[in-house]
Amino acid sequence: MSNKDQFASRWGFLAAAIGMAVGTGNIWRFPRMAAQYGGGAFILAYTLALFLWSAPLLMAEMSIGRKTRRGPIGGFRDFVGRRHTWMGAWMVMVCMLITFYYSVVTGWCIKYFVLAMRGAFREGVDTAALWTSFLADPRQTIFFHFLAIGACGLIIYRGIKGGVERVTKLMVPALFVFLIVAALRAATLAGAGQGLTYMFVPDWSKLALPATWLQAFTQSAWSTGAGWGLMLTYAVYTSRKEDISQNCFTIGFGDQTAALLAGLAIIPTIFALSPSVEAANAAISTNNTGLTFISLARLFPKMPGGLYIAPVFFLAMVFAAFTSLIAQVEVGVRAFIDGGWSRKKSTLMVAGATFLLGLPSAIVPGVFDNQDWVWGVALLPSGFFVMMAARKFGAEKIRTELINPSADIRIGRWWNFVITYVSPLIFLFLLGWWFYRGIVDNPETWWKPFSRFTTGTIIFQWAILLVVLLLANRALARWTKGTPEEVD
Amino acid sequence: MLKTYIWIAIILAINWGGFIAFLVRASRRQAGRAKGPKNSN
Repeated sequence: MSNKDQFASRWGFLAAAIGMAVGTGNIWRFPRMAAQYGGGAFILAYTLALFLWSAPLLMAEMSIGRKTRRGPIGGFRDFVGRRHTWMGAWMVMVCMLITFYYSVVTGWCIKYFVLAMRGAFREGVDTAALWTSFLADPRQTIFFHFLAIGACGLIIYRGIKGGVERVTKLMVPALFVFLIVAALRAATLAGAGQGLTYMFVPDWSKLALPATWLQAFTQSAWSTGAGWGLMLTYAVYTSRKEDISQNCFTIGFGDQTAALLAGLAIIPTIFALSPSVEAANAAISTNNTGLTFISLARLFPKMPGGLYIAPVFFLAMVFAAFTSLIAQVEVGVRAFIDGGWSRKKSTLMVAGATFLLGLPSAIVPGVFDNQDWVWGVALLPSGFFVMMAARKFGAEKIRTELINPSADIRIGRWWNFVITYVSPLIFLFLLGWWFYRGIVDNPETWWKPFSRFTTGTIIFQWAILLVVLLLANRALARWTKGTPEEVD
Repeated sequence: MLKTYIWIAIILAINWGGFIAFLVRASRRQAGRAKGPKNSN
């Protein structure tokens, strides 16, 4: 492995990994979830999820990547055995299927940053019409999708040190500064107090609802990138002396810090500037895009200094989305590099495929919704496969031979228990609850495989992917070439 | 509002405090490495 394909410093790795974790979900989903599911009670459940799901999984992923020096496909083959290569391939495929439409999302953020720079969010502008007319214009959605994946491809093409590390070291600190600016502006608005109360004071009764725990754990899983294969891939480019436990907790807490900053920026703004509490609640109860591109865009003109805050907010969205997109594309690129391809050829292949296969989501909003519905949940089985890999390799062996020798903070036996028993039980609960709700809430239609938001479409599309990967397992095991490389 | 501020302080102390503490530890270790022999990495 050339020096270009290694992180030059721990800061470089941390910036890339925090950028990987902090995405649009921190900004447009976490504040909504916190406000809807009990404020401080949700945040405490979300913090618990870091210890019981996200951080243990990130540590397991980083151990696989650092030991095998391969992406998820080769990593699972070498770490668990040839018969389990399909599990790593599942992680790569799910990550790529998300990347296809996430590039489209990144394009939306770029578009709204451009609109904010032009001062488009003026008093009286119909932001709902602005959003729907943008989505209905394929030339625009395709152009911004192309811009997002094109820029991402150029960065990855330049390698880890010269591309990914250099860019994320600038973008991630800038993202935090932008969120702090937006949070300070929001928290000092007249009437922000009600939003702060809504966001932070715990409503303990919400902890009795399974939905609160489901949302807290899935938010943590999606947000930190645990189980995506992203951490596993970035770990390939780290030194063997890199501290797994400390890095994983830094990334987890960094992700939560960004989410709380976003909450501080968004919820007080909505409560301070909405005409009524009902209107504020309606804005929070809408979906991710509705909150960001319609409700918030409508409120910026009412905010003193809103003309300047809007570009800052949407640039934060761009940076959050873009640094996550880089990590996702790298997962695909690494799979090809492991297959013996050059980085340049692999990048062209993955970026080109992302552009082409993202087109249906860019053109038809229904396809986007369906793909987000199906593959977002597929990250739960991805995480489960990492737990299975840890169990098969031996949790104690990972802890004593891979995590602790280079650890500043040594991990105790609790980690073995969590990764072997607690996290798998949480997985069963989360997935079981997700399917149960899907069936109970839609008793007549849940089974339909070609509907946008049914349990049937999830099962149908997962089954196709699973069958293909199981049939291709031998070929996938042969795909990874060469011997493991050392980076020390 | 006092109750709100207390809860803000508790939640931010856990999350932001955790992040800052880990960042400080990471920077100390990075500084330690930088002081070490050049071929140690």
